[in-house]
Amino acid sequence: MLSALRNPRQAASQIITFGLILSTAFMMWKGLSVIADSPSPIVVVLSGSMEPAFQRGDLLFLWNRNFFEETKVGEIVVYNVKGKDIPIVHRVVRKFGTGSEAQLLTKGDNNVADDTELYARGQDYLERQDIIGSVVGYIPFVGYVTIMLSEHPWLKTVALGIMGLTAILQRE
Amino acid sequence: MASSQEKIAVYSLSDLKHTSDDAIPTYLNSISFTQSHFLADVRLGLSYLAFAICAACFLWDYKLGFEDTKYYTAIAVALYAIINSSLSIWIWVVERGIVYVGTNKAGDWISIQSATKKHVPIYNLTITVTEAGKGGSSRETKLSRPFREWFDETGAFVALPFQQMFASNVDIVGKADPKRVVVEKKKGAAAKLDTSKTMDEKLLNLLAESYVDVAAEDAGTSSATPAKGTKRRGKKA
Amino acid sequence: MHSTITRAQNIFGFFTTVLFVLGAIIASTDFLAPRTPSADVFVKDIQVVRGRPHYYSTKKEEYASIRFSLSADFSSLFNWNTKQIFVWVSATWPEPSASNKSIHTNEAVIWDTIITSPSSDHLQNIGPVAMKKLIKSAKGKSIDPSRGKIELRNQKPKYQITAPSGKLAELDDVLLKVHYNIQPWVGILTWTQQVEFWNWKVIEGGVSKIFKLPALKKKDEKKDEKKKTTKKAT
Repeated sequence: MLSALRNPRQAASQIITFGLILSTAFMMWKGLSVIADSPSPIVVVLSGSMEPAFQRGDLLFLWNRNFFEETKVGEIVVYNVKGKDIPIVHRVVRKFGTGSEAQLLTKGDNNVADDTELYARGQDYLERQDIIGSVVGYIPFVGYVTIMLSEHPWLKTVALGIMGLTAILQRE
Repeated sequence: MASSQEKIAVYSLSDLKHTSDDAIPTYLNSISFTQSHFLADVRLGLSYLAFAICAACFLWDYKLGFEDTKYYTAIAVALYAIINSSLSIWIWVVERGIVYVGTNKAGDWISIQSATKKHVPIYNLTITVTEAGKGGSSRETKLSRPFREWFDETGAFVALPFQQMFASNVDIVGKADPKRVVVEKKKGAAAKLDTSKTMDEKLLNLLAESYVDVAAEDAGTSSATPAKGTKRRGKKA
Repeated sequence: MHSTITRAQNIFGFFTTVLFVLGAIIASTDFLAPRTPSADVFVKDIQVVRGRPHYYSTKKEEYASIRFSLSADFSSLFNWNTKQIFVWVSATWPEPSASNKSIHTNEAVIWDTIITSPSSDHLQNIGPVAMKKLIKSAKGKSIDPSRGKIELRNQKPKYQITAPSGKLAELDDVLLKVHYNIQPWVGILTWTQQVEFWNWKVIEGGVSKIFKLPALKKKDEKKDEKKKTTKKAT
């Protein structure tokens, strides 16, 4: 209600209601990040290289702590390659050595060849620090929304606009 | 005074309640009550503090990355959780739906709490009045009135009946705005509001009135007052 | 405005709540289904040869090719929430310089396979003929009792193993291990059970005897390689 904007406290209150929705969502995400020790504790699968296990749009929950044992062969890890933006979800198929120096090789279940070609120039193996988490939980398809949003950026603007408008125009 | 220029959806209980809630300060402040914003200010303060922490966390995470800032982020998350729970406690335990706190010129203190039940279009008010110089003893008046009494069928707010409700049921409001005090015909002589001066008299009026009004109920918070009041009323009648 | 958006929000909120609760219930049923996997793996024939990691490489490394036999029963790992199981055989060995040879710090997968549940057969990346056969094999069944049974005789490895040092010949204390990873339709992923957990038993067997890689194979011996029979995994 626009008349409400005449009262500064009420305006401030309605703005912060929307602000708290956003900030609570963000802080929950960060809380999850801190607990899982991963910059991105939930990721959406973008490619079919792990099919049939993971398909595009599936949601993966990551865990990046080694409480009981090291990241080992057979785990499905999400890793970043220097100079590339998009993290990759593949399975560890070789591991030489232990600790932070261990050399890891990954491969997509649905790919014929291992990931040597995907790594940075001159890089033959991953190290533990390249990995941002191992997949521990799975929800199918839910993340497809984000694929839609990234492929059709105008949807983002629309969604954010609607969210903002409803929060400001409506009090609960 | 005039009905609000905006119309609301009469089927939206939250709109009905919020419009009514908003009308209370407008009315009381217009009849020389001074509103205290303490509750709202604490709530806003906590909210903005939480938001500021989140904004800072977002900024350092964005600028410096997760790995370098994760301990600060952990602290920020914990702080945010604490402030947010304090905020919830403040809203649920301290504010408890209080929409107005204020004092009149005499220093009498009034606090109005409103509530609705899901799907029931009835406005439940708990009005607590603490008069100046009475050693902190307070009286509580509970009112339950259907919203239709002050919303017309188009969803427009009609101020007069709404304001009359307060003036007629809360003596310090009635005193400040005698024009809007409605004395129902059924009431006996005791219900007249004009000359009563002592606290007992005022309470008596209040009691008598609510006695007649089926929708309203009266409850005294200070221990002895209800019994005393009833006794007096019996004498007069 | 009020009613339309609020109602849409309410319906959407209710819908997602129901979906998540349902998902959580389905995921938790995994714990009710007993898991009693078993596997026997035997090393057959091993060869170590020298080669290049890829065509353009000038570096020469030693590659070990380990043939093996596998007899496994993973059928108990399938339930209605199983999407697929991923089974692999890996070779593990200790660092040659290490004093404690029982700690195998190196591991490399030599063979793997995806066994889909009938519910996800259509997602497999296989040819149309094989797909038709696969779907037909489990027609009308939500869980196919023959899925997860593996019989391999003298199987040629899918992947030859290497080491970053490039040296593998005459490596000692090597083991083959069988592992699995269960991919659910919704819920948590589980790997080869390390400790018994209520209904979930530790894999029975699944480890070969310790063996030693042979010396580097001479060039002239390189002929009699491709005669042995292999049986497909089911």
